Amino acid sequence: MTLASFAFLSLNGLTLAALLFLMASGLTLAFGLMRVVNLAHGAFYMLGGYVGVAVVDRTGSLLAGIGAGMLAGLLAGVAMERLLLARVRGIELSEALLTIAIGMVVADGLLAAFGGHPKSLAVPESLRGRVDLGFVQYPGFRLGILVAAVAVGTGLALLLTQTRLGAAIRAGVDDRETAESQGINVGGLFGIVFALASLLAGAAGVAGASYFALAQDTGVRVLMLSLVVIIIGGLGSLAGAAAGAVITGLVTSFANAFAPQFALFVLFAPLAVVLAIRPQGLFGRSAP
Amino acid sequence: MKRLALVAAVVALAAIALPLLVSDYIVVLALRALMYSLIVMSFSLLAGQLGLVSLVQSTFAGIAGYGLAILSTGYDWGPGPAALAGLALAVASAAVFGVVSLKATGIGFMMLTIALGQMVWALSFQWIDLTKGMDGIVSIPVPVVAGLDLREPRAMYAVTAVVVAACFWSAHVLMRSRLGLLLRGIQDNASRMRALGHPILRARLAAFLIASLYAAIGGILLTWETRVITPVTLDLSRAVWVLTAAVIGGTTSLGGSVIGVVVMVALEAVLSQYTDRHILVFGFILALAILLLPNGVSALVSDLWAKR
Repeated sequence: MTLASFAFLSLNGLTLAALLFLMASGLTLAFGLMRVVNLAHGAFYMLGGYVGVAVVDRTGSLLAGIGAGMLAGLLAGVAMERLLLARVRGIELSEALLTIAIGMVVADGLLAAFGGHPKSLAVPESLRGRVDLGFVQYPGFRLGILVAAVAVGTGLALLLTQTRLGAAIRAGVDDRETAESQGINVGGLFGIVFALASLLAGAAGVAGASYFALAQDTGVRVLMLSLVVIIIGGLGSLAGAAAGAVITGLVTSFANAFAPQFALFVLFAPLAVVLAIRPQGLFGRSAP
Repeated sequence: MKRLALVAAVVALAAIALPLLVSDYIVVLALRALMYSLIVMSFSLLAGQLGLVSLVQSTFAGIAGYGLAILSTGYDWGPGPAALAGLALAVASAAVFGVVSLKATGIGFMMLTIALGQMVWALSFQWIDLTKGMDGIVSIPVPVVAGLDLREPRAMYAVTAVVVAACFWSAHVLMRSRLGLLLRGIQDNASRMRALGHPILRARLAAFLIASLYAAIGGILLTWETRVITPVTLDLSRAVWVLTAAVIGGTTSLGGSVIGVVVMVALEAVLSQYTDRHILVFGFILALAILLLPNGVSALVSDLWAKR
């Protein structure tokens, strides 16, 4: 393997990691707060993607598309949390199963609305060029996704460590009861984190549609990858989501090139190894 | 107890009489219901007895089906040995997945089973040399059992009814055995059971393997019934179908699995006349069932029964 192809596959892996981090960071923080895992997260990714692609096709503006995708994800997330999850609050399994049901409805509804043909994002002419990194030429738009994910990750890390809101979230993740007894409204925080997570899923859907065409099974694939990321990284940990995303992205990218028949199944290996050595995940506190 | 035996006897009699009285179409629907009831029962055993929500049970049915299909079409194995190998493959997969996932409980376990199940699903359309990809494997040979050609729906029905009855009876016995008692103890208070010296992890693994075998038997029968297997068998929506049937029926009793499957198969038959959006409708039904029927129809029925 040449250096250039190694670099190319690594960058592909990191681009996938960037998308997965956008998905997994919100998922894992929401889980950490209320032990609710949003299994409609993949469907929200699709929703954001389809809405964003439709807006870009109409207006030709990438920013409008990403904004529309975020808004779609945000609205879906807030509606689900306020109208449905609130009815079974505290019953962990009912909450999770309800999100599966909503995910099915959203994904099948999107299939009905947008048809079964794969759809991709038409990246504007100005962003289509390749950037010369010295050792490899790489599409500039994908580098943009990478930079955006690093920016979101940095922003979230700063939010968690430098603000009162972040301190309250960390307290809620660490020990919900004690945080509540100190007057922190963990339920309210959860609503904020859940909305933010859904918004990020919508954004990831638009960005990801430049890379993987949106199709019937996109939501389930993205959900599966995001779950692998947060299980490997450790539930509730932002650093874990980053580490899990990088591992999952790189493994998938290289497997795609060298053993396409096992491209996704290969993830069983890192999952099994991490769970055997650290059942709580790389950065997790306690076993799930 | 006498009531239960009576109900079981009436259900069994109705099941025997059914193929003599109704059209081929209804027989095929009933067949589907019987076969799926094994997969739903597999789910309900783990959910009801251990509190483990496993979305990988329909995957074990698919693994058994794929094992059977690959060996009997690609390698000229007879249907009998290929079916046994399919069952063995499914149980072996369950052993590996169980070791990886059973230390987790609750939501963590459920997330793991989704991830594992969807990895197998990906394998079924990416490992094209072996699985024929999205097209699936067709013209799977069907055996002749005790002079009955299983391509004939009524013959298939007779064999299926016997197999399914045997599986439900053995599950009933299992629930009343020492293992069943231990499992309920673990569900109620795992740390107390551990303190009493019971092997928690081994008991969980044993239950997982037994439940997976039931699902795998259902998978073999379904593969013979349709004579085709495709990645749809391993799709998450199939796992959610099983989950929905179990939630509708209730997971605390074995009868719930049958009720749930009958409701789902009947709904599907009616729905298919009006719409292709099955998944959307089932999503709504699942959401409604979770919000309105926390313990399923079977609990509702036994509550009403108890009030009389």
